[in-house]
Amino acid sequence: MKTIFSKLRLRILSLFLTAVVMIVGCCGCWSRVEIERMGFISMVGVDRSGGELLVSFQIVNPRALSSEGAGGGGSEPSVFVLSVKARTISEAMAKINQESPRSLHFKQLYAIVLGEDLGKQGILPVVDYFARYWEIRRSIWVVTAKGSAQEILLKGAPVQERVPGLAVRMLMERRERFASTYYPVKLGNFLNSMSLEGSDALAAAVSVRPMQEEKLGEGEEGKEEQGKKSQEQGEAIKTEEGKEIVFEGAGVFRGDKLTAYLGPHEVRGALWVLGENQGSAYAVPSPSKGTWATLTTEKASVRVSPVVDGDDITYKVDVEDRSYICYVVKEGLEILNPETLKVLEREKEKAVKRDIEAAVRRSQELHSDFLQLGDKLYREHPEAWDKVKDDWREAWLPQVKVDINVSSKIERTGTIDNPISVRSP
Amino acid sequence: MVLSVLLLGMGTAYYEAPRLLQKQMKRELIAFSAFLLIGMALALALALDWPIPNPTRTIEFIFRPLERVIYPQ
Amino acid sequence: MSIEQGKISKRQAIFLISNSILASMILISPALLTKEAGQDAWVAVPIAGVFGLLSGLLGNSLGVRFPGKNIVEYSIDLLGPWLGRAVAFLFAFLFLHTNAYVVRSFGSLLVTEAMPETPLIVFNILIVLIAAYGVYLGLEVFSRVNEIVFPLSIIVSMAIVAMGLPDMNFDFFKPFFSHPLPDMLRASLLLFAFYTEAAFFLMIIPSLRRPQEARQVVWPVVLILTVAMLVDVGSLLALFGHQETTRMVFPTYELAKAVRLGDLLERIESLVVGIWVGTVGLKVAAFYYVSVLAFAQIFNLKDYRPLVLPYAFILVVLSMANWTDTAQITLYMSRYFPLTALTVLGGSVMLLYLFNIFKRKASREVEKDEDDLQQT
Repeated sequence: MKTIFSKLRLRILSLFLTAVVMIVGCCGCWSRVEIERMGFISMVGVDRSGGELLVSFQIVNPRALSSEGAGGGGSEPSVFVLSVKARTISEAMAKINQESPRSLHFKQLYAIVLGEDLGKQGILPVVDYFARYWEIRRSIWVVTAKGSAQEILLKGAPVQERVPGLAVRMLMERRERFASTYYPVKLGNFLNSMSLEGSDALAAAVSVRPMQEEKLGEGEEGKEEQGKKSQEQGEAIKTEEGKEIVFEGAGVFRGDKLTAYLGPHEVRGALWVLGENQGSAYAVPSPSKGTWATLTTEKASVRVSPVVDGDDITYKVDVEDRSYICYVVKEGLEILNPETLKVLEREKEKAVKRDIEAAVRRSQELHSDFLQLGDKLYREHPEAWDKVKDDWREAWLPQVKVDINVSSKIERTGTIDNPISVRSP
Repeated sequence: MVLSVLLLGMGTAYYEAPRLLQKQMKRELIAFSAFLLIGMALALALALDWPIPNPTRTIEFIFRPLERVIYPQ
Repeated sequence: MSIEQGKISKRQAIFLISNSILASMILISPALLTKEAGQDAWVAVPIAGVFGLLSGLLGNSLGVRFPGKNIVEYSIDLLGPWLGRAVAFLFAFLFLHTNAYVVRSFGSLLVTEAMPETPLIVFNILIVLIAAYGVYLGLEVFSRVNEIVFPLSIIVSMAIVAMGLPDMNFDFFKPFFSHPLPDMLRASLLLFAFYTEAAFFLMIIPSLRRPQEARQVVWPVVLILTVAMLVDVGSLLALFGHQETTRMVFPTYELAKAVRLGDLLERIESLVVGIWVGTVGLKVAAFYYVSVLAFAQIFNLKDYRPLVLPYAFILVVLSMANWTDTAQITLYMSRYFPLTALTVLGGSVMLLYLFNIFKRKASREVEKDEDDLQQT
């Protein structure tokens, strides 16, 4: 009797457990979305349009990507752009999800493009969404558009990469090998520099420019200028229609409002002060004296230390730069001569100093503390900061003194020492 | 919802009670039944959206004066 | 005779206590620390560690006095059957409530950050089921599981922090000590409340293979917790700065989300969630076990297992119904949880401790009187 009872009990129990496992199993894939039903947004651009937002989504076209192997992908655009007018970004997301058969996700988002007119009116209402929405991570890149963000998304398409968003990300990450004349900023850092008391945000500016030929035409103005200029315009990505995404300079914010765009020199100065410089190339000496050589920074350390003396606030900016010669233009420059290296070093120091000065001047003109000088003061001298923080940007920032000391050292000369010389015929 | 709560409760009772009966553990059986009844009542209340006793509110009520003192408002 | 037959080693006890405190301590509290003490939040960690050490030594010296008994048993011995049971009931109920809080807050994390379309109750039921299964199998079983899971979780979190190092900016710690002492104390009060959760160990001391060793558990636990919390708070501050950290609801998860190792390794937060489910499940299991065991002893039962399944119903319902939203969860954690845990857990242990001293003195005096009587 007992055994029958327990056997039956066991059977019912196992049945019950099976049911539980099945229920649990169903729960496990509650939030599942099959990958075939997902759409991935690679870039999102936000503009103002009247009282509303114009949100543009650049969505990866899965068909074009999957036909890559077959080689027939050319006819199919790899991304398409949908723009929606809405009051908020989440409303735009809702609208776009109604149009798209696949459910759209920010999981593969690479970059956020903020339109110029939006920036001018203040981005605060927009950035909260990006900070709050769970699919968005803090390592996404933020760029500001010169002009409308929609245009960047629509027209800018790279040649090497099928997905422009990915191209943006690759550019942002790989910047150290090139003249860094744009300021790559991740969403987390962007939000931080916007919300700290003594600091304002800075984000790389991007614009679409017409064809390559026109750019070459520009370069004819002066031969000496040309080499430098193409460096300073940052990276150019061509598109099929002949449009290209160009990074140039950076947008400066004051509070949450975009106030101006920095030129390449000022961005480079800002990068130095912020300690973000990782290998910019400088052509020395200054254009008026001619171009002798290009020095690339290999390693740099920057110390910004505020010195408070009564009502005078002075910033000591000490830059230590280790660079190598990447290219000598002037024939017969004697690299093996220590004196020559010294001259080149001094010239680089001057150039770096000029850039930093330009950035500081701009910051003081714009009353925008994108160099985070106020934050430095707060970190080092909190009592002094307490006194000045209320009218820091208006009254104090324009009159702080900045004392710049650059010491540059050439450590390597590349694979050859003296430059190639041509025996005259 | 209500049905699944009832089913779960019955399943629990079916799993535990016979063993307790067999071993003549009267005290355990009573405690088990009491706990199960409370649990089922709470679960049914949750399923039917009835008010549920909320210790958190009580705790908040008890400690509010102290909280006012310790934490700046 | 005690209900629990399983025995655990000293190391298992250390890991069990550390995990039971750490699993939910890193969930929300870093943001609350930075809210109170800004960039000085990390200072609160060692302060709380000192408090934790003292209270741990005090609590364990109580436990060691009664090596074969747990807190419910000697509470009844010391305070009498009714008052003793009332204190024990409060103790058991607090762990039920705290457990409900842990389940709810971790369920909220999963809903907010990982799977927003899944209803909260599903996660809560699943966590409670895992824990209930562990409790049903007994203390020894989940202690052994914990012996594997806890070190693993520590290794993974250290790896994640190491990956975040290049992005960290240690200037965010400056200026040092700019917050007044009360702010720091308030911040450390919260952490200290987590340390008092270790009072659940007083239920487990009899199950130690060598109960006399209970005292040796305190140092390692405090050390593990202080270091782990310092690393967590420090890396959050260095990575996000205190303003950003304060805004976050689940800062440690955001840390895992922000970290990447080149193109090689990114989006590792799912791994983090996977391990975290394990550690939180074990924490819930430990509190579940203690609470059920305490209830069983309050009612003089021979076995705690009959109570496990009904208790699951209560736990799930409390976890669902007691808090309305994540804002309230955060508020409860920042204000009421420390006060409740400190008064109830700290209070009951202190009460028993004082009673113990008082009783011993009284008995000594009785002995003295008897001696006097014999002499005359």
